[in-house]
Amino acid sequence: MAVEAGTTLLKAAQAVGIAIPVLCHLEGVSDVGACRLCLVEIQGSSKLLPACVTEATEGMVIQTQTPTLQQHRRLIVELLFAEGNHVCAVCVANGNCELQDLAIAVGMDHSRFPYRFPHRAVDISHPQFGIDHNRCVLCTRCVRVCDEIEGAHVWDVAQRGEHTRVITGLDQPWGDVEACTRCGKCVDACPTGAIFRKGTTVAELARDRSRLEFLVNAREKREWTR
Amino acid sequence: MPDGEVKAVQTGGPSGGCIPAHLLDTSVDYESLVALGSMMGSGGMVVMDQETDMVEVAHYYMDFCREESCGKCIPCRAGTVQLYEMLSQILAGRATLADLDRLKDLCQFVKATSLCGLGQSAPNPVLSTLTYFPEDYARVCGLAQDPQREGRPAESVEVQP
Ligand code: SF4
Ligand code: SF4
Ligand code: FES
Repeated sequence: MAVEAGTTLLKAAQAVGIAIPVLCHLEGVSDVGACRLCLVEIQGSSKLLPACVTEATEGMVIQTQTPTLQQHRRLIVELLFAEGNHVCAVCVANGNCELQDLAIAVGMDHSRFPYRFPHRAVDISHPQFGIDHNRCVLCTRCVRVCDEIEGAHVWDVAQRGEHTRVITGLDQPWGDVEACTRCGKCVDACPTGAIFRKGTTVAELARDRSRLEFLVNAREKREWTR
Repeated sequence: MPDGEVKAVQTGGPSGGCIPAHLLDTSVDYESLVALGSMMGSGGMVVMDQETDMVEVAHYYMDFCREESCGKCIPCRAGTVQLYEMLSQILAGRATLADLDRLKDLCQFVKATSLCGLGQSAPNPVLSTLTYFPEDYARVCGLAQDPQREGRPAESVEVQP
């Protein structure tokens, strides 16, 4: 197939209807290649490369679904479930969660790793929204959407390794961060139930991704009507 | 050596591997060390005597890597933590030979999928000790005396570095 120069492997695959699983990728914001779910095999390369940040080049032959890749993807999802506290039965995003969708897509019915049960905080200091770090998969979509689309840069990443977490402001309670415009874009971007609208109960969280896509499209293509 | 014979030489720091005594004639250059599943790193070496438990060595280095992981990519952030826990279980005598296969699989996964060199090399101390000192793992797995427990002998543990 032929694609425009600079097209990522992910976009090229999407154009021909081949789905590659993603988690950190979000349409409209920059890519970071962090979750490693979109790794693909490239003929002639001993390394697996992330489709979301790898550009298609002349004559490239890629494989998106091999037994090795499937095993890797399942392990990634297992590690995520073991790393946080994902109790779907009481989660706002139950049934509307990309982590659940991924588990189904990669055939992960249980984690072979022991659950870590980390102690993580919940911050409901914001008047409209809350963040439950127990459900955060550290995709950094909230960081990028707030910085790149809203221009408020409320979110950042603090600490490292298993202690890594997203923070608001200078690690202040979210409600104290004056830069937050209460636009709700981070709520729409979050793949799990980590960032939620207050008052949402179990399995009730509905996100409006089309709002993000509309804004990006409007800016890039100057199409201001829905 | 205070206690007699050399058991292994560790090169390349926490990203490197442990080279067994019978390969001590290897020349110290980049290619030869990588071929043995280790690396040059800063050129430093740790010489270990017969008293050294190689599982403890691997556990020690994995502790370092899990602390140093930046946390950006999932395989390194969460994988090194689980590798460390598996090694802790082995050291505590709570593991079986089947767990060694899981340990090896997770090592290869972290190596192949991590974003940067830290994750890509963090499993090296485990893989090299599994290759050259399987008896240390078998012993702490409590299986050296009972090779039939998992239905196959301890020597059949195969590791591709
Ligand atoms: S509500 Fe808007 S401004 Fe506030 S943190 Fe979320 S994306 Fe940023
Ligand atoms: S809060 Fe949500 S969007 Fe932000 S890093 Fe965590 S999972 Fe991703
Ligand atoms: S979607 Fe490509 S690494 Fe996350």
